[in-house]
Amino acid sequence: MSELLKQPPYAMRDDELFLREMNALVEHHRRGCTDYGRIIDHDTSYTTIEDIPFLHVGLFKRLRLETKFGGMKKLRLLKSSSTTGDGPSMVQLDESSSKLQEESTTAILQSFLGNKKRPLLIVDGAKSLRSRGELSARLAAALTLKPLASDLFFLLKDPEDPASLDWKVVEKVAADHDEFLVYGFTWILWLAWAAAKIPSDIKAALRGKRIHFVHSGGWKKLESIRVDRRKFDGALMHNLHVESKVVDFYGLVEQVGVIYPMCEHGYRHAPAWAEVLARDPYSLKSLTGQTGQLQLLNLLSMGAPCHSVLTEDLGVIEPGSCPCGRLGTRFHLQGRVPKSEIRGCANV
Amino acid sequence: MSDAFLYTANGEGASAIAMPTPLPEIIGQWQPMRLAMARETPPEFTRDEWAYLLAFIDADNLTSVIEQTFGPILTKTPPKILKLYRPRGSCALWLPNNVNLLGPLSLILLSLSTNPVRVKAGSTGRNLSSAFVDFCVQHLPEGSLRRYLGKEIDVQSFDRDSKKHQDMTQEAQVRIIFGSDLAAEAIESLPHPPTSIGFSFVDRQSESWFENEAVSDECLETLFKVFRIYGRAGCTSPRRVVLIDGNKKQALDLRDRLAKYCSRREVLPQPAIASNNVMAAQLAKARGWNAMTTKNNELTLAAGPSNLMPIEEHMTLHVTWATLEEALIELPENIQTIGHVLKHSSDPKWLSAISRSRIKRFVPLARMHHFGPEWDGFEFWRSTFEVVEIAR
Repeated sequence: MSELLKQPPYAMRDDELFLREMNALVEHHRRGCTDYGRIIDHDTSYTTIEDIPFLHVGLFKRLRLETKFGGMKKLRLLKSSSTTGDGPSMVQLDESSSKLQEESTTAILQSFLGNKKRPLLIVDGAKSLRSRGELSARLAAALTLKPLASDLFFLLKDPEDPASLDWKVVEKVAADHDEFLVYGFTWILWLAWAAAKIPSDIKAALRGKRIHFVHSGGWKKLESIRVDRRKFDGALMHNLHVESKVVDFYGLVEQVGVIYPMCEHGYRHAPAWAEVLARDPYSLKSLTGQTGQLQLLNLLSMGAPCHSVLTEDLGVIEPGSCPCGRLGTRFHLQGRVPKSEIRGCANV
Repeated sequence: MSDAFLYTANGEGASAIAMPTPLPEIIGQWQPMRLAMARETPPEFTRDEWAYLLAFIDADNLTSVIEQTFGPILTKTPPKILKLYRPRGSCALWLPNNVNLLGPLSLILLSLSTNPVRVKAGSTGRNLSSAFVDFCVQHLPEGSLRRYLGKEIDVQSFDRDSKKHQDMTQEAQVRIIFGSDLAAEAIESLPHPPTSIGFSFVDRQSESWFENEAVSDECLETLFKVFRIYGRAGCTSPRRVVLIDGNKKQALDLRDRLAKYCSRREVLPQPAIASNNVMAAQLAKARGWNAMTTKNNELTLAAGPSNLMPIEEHMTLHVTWATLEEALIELPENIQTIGHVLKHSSDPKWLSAISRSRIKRFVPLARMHHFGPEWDGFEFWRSTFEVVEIAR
């Protein structure tokens, strides 16, 4: 249990405590995960956060990284969507980490959405919840909002078809409640709701409602059809209560429990139990004010060495404090490392 | 057909090659291109690719294609001709998506036989064939080569289900297929003239064999250059270096020397390649390799015994050791080229080893990527001619 989880997510952090706990986690994974022990093969105590070794995010697609420890109780296997052709990332969930992860996401989300429990409408299908022992990244992201939900509604009759949104469910929730949450993967939320032709009676039912839309998954597909944040948010917020809002969060299956919602000033913030660094792709030095590959660290991962992961997402760490008042490292997310063309004749 | 004969001779006797344009004239017409190519690199090509093409059309190289195939060129008409070669007819060429340089190289070779060619370019990669032909037509002086390239070569791109594949197989006297096993099977199953011939150049792998005593700084530089062009994605790229009769210490030493050579370079790979190498080095360590990335994460070098699970990442080169017999046993089914750095490559033990293997090419390290008229065990360029036996 991280001591830092006991404090508010965006309060002043004791960096020495973070470093101590991170060093303990490195040792924990070195002892419990053979592959990690081979990669991080030197026994040392790191004196700065920048020195904490990372695993490259691509390893989670190629190795089943699991850390065994006394009393470990395995839960489901979390699988990412496979968008790069390398297969999905696989992250083993365990009971003790899951508790910490739920506490973490709840605290983070409360900072953006408040404490009040509301119905949660998920723009997805419930089907994949029923698959044995596995959980898709899409549903895992949706379920991070569960602690804020009084009721759960899945809106898509067919999870692969955004046009299958069941507007009757929306109508019923709107009839019974003035406030609710809607979560969807960015692309699906656009297709199923923002760009959909909403029946006129549903439009009327939604008018003036206070809806907090939450989405994640990235903008790549929307950029390809020239939909920017302003257009996206505008389409969702049309005719809603003035206190409605759209929250875009960044997260990945290899960082379960730590999500990075965008604040009112366009930044994302690391909570006290996490840290973000940007690394030069060539020297791997930590950068401030320059674009680098994001390294995400957290104190929540016990069952798999996800405590320090070098992603293929690009971002800039911004110095100084944010007008939103949240402390902790702030950064801009800038997209993915661009793909390279591979020339050759063999299948690699 | 004109009476433009080129005479050659080999151990069997003299041959005449009948061409609409004499072969030396075609070779001569390629030469002005070298100047144009030296002045300008089209954006479709990397500098390395363009430099290789420029060297490929050199008169000596093209002449060596003829002499390697038919024997030395004779300056006088021989008294007795035993064989007459003449162009077989239309050729069809299928190219893979990702090694598009094979297109221009094949077209240069086929220009020497003057057969008309229909090319199916890769549907997703860059179409270097069209870019090369366009460049040549634009820069060549008026002449038979320019007319040939402009009129007799037809480069198209279409998907795998297109009926045009069948049009190509039905028309062609020679089918040349570069691609996957599946693609070659599919094309060869299409109707084609019974007298036509086909060559399938399918997925292959290559590696390097070194003897530690023969390793020099120069050969490490060559190894780096040969590997860097395609990484593990090229069928002629060394996926690993095997130190024949070597040991762990020598493998680590070779790896470190190669890394030292890389450390003198000031080149930044694409960020995705650098990132992939960071990952590959960690994956290699997890699998037991002694792995590292080179400067700027340009390559991953992994040394270790050959029974470790290989790292199938683009820019990962393995350095391992084995006896010659072990190396032969470990060769993949689809082995193509061995690029060697040996004390005495003419030692009969190597010939004996090759004869007991499926190796298709056994060449010095620097020649691993060299494309030529014999490929994957076939004399495919010679087969673009038909042979007429002349009675003794």
